[in-house]
Amino acid sequence: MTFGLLFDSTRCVGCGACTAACKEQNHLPLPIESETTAYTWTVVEKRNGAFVRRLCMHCLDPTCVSVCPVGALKKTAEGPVVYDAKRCIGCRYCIMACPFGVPKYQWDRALPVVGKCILCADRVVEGKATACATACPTGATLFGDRESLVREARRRLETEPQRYVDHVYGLDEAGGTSVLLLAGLPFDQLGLRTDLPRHPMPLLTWQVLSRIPNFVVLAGAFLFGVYWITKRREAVAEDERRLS
Amino acid sequence: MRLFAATVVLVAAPVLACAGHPVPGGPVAGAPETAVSSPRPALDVEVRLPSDLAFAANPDAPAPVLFRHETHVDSTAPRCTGCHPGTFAILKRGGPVTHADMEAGRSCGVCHDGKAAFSAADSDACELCHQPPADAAGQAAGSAGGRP
Repeated sequence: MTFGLLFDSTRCVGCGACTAACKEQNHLPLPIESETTAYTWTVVEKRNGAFVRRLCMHCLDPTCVSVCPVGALKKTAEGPVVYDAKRCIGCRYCIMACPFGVPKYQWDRALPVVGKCILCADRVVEGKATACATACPTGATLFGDRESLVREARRRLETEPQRYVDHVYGLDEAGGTSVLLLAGLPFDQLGLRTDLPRHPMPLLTWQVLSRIPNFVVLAGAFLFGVYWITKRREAVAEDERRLS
Repeated sequence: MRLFAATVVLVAAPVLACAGHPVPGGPVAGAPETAVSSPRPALDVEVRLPSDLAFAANPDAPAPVLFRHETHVDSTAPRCTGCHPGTFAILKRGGPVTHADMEAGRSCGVCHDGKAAFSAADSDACELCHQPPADAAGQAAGSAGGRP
């Protein structure tokens, strides 16, 4: 079973309980910043009169995981995309690769690491809801298994179509995410990207990378053939010179 | 001349690299609103504030204290980050609250300092917080004052 969050922008009052709970749960230093940083993993932004959370979307097939050269990022079976600072070499490929601009770097430290929401992976393994969902006083952030959350999101769209834009953000954006969003405004007005492909983004590079072993074998065979023919011609030429 | 140019580049490049290191990346596209605009109308959202917190009375205290979120928070536009997690934990119950802490500007004393809200050290204001349990529910709503 894979878990996730359903954030309903129409039920968010912008109280910041999610941010406060995240700070406490993950022992992140204060203050609470106005945008996500390596020390503030989730914030509530107000855009066009509506509140929207910013946090890691926990892609089903995460680009950050696919580009990390040392395996510091990992998609767990329960759903969270977790980060191991001990493995990180600070290359920041994950920051460049994330389609949602989530991972942030500790620019103020001499030995920086990356910071991002880890969907309270320890709590999830213990069967608990994430800290943000636990603290939310309106139920705007719901924790549950992703399939149930998708059903709940669709139920809300069907029962209150006047309240929502008819789309579950995260259902298939970048191949699908464990964090799903509902909103009463078009998602681009909430600062969310609406130009993302509907397939997992690592597919883009995998189409090339998966062919590299074949290419190496074929190119090696071709170069060996050229070498063999050249050597053979030289040997034949040498023999003919000797005979004549 | 070429040696001079090479030297300048060799010196300038590390200096620029060191200076640029602490500077974050470029501006964030699509920044959120900075001005406070009116919230979306008719939000039929029920805000379930946490339940009341009863504090055991010190033997010297006139009565126990019942903390109520309702009297400290505007339930239509709560701002939890005013107190959490800097002053009080949000996920778990904190330790005992003492007047010594308050008078040192910690705990309730962050707001109850005589400026933002009545002072926790004001000997005329004891009953605003210390109320017999039977009275607490009825009176606290109108008496505690202060800000979230």
